[in-house]
Amino acid sequence: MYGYSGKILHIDLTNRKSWVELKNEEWYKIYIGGVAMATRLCWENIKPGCDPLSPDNPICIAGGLFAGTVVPVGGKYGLASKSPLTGFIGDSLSGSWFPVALKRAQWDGIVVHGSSPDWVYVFVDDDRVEFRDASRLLGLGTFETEEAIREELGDDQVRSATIGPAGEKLVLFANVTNDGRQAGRTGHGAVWGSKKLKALSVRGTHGVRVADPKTLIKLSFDITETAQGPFTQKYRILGTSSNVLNLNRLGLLPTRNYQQGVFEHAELVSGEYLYENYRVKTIACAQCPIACEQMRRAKDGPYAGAMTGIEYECLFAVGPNCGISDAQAAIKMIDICDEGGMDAMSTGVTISWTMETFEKGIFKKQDFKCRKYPEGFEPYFGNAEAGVTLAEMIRDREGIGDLLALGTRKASAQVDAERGTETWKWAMQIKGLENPGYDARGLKTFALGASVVARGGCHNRSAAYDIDIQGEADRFTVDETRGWRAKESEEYAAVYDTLPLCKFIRRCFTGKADRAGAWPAIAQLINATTGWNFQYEDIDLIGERACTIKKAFNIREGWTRKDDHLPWRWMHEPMKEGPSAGYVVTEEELEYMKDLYYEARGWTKEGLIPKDKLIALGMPDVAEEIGV
Amino acid sequence: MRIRIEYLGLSRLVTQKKVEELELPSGTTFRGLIGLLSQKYPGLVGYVIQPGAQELQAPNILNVGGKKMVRGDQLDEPIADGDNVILMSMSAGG
Amino acid sequence: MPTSTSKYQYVTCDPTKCVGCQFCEYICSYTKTGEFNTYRSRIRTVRAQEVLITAVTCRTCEDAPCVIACPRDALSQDPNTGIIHIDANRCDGCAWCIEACDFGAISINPETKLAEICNQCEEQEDGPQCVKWCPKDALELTNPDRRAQKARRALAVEEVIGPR
Repeated sequence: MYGYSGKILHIDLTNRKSWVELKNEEWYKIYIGGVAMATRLCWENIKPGCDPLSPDNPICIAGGLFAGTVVPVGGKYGLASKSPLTGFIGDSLSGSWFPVALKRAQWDGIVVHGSSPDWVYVFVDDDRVEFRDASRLLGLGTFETEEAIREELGDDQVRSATIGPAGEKLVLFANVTNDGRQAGRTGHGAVWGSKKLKALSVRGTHGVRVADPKTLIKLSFDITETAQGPFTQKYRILGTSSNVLNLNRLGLLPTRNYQQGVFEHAELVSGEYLYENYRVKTIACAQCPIACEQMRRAKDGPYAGAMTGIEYECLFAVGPNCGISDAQAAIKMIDICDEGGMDAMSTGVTISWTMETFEKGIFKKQDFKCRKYPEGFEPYFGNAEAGVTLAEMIRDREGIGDLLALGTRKASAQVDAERGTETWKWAMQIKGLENPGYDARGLKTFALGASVVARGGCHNRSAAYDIDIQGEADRFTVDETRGWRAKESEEYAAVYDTLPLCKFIRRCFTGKADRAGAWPAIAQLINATTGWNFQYEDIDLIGERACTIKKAFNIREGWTRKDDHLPWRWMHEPMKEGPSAGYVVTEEELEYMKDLYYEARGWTKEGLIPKDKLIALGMPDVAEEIGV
Repeated sequence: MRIRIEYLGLSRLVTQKKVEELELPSGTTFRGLIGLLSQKYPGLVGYVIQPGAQELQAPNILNVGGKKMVRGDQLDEPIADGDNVILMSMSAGG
Repeated sequence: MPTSTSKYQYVTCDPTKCVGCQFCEYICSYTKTGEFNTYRSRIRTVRAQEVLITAVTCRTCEDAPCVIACPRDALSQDPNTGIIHIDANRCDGCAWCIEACDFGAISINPETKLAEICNQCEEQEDGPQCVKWCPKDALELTNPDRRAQKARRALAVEEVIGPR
């Protein structure tokens, strides 16, 4: 078999054992890698209905088909567990060296079971598994942990996926970091922390062979050359942060906890402003010839020296969404999240909920007592120092940070239960996962996409905002095409998440990013790597299978139709200003679009999956368990 | 007629301007506007504007008033007097 | 091509252009071994403090210290090109050459435990594959005179026209 070793490594933290599971080529042809394989491993190894922070929730890592080869942007891996934020599948992707090391150690995936009595990190050295004491790593930031492990093991080539102090403290949206990139969302850091797993380190010394190296190199060379040109310019120079001004102009930039869609100070926290004043360098993940990671550093003031990669989704969450116009404070907040190991998006949206709850008089100044401010402080929207301090308090679970570390859904439920308030109405989350930087009141196809996607409030898994913004569909109204549009958009994204390949390469095959423009080249890459004979339809199936296995997992964990919802604000409070003002997503609109979507998928009206659909997709065992 | 054009992202880096007012012959289409910009700011060609064509290089796109995105098949529509046109490069992801 | 005023050529990396993608490492190992394996690459990227990134390979030093250091005369330096050749039959992996090399340009094959070093792909028709492949044009096969000339030109342009 080319492209795979045929082996999954199982690690049992409770009993300090490991064993090898063999998989056959047919299994790989269906699940490929990335989020689909990780979700499938989770399906196979989880105890259904378990508490996500219990030993029964497995950590499932799936490698990348192209990792460790010259295929551009192929250095990615998938990570899945049951999410402590949502109770549904938490599927994430990360990039750079870790999946390359995994491939060279000749593992297609790793499943971590149980939970360790003491803090441990696991070192996978080719085929040898070592359980090592992690007590001296506790409290170290994500990057620090990686470096400390390299120091201890004496090899720069050791690659580690780590949790930071936030994961150690079980912040529910803590993340897993490797090589400065994150498997960011849904709370993996808390799952690892609940198992007392500080890091997973891998060293792989074997070479990677492919079926047809000459073809693969030629294809990769051509794609790499195209990737230096105009199709990737937006990523290479300004980065995704250029979306701040774009969305501001469209009236879709979440401002002050999604109360408005226009931020009067957007220029000061824009990608253009950050580029002009704070740029350091643009760096790349392993195996990436684009280089999109925009490193920005704060130069002066109280946050001088804070440096990290800035993306739009982190920037909107801690900047405009918190009313904060101080770019250096925004860099600092994102840096706290990156070093501390927590999802900057969820952190920002949780802080904005906190700010609104304070401004509405429910939280008071003394609720914010902490070491830095023993009298408490007043987190008005726009209070940069409050934003920075709250991020630290959440990371450390200090004071009110202990409550906020639960995320907006649980925190608001707790507050409302205690005080008889209705803070849930401005908890901007879907299924418990905090929302991304697009206001769905002015993006009706995305409203559908965000409500139905398996892991919760996510732009990345749905990608349907593109349809609305580009004007392919009218973003302010609803019609009978939205169901299949959202489905196709989701499946398109799922192909990239499963191979995996970074989506930023999508235009570089032929100049057109649609299926006709991308699928043939992707099929060639797959075939040159594996020796298979995948055609256009097989690539379509990759996307459909990925979405289906995730949905099946959710159904088994108790999903019902009402879990595909939207935040109250998007359904009841229209924006008052800007080009997207005056709209909400009504109950009728949402339920109508969900009907269309389930129908387009071939599911029942309740959103359940017919048995023969699952069998046709190559998942007979799943059909047995949850097919109808 | 007079229109207002805003430059975001890459086009701002090239033109070194955030916004300006332009005098256009009435009836100018969006395609005509692109042609005009390619002459006024040659640096945009190959970068934001397709070389040898009066079209924008994906993912750069024109928008009117924050509401109407001008798709490729709409480039031959006329611009209205007083329109606020925005030249942006839409990014997916981040 | 070396002239009487230049010393040997070598592959060098511009750290302002290098993004650390490691394509050079993949294509080097593939060219030499048929596999993608950065442990077999003769050019290595290095990242320090997240943003200090460059790639390092043999600098074809005059009177190469690695050649002098080898106790078994396993290393030799071509007098015309400066390229270092390692005789695998003589090398016993003692790694004195690695001690002698200030740049870390010599590596050890993880299987045979013998030393390996860049030979500028002299067996390839189109020369160093890493230079050919680098997506950011950060790598160059060059010599010190040309490097200095480039720097002087860049300075002249900057002084007369102003920094870009």
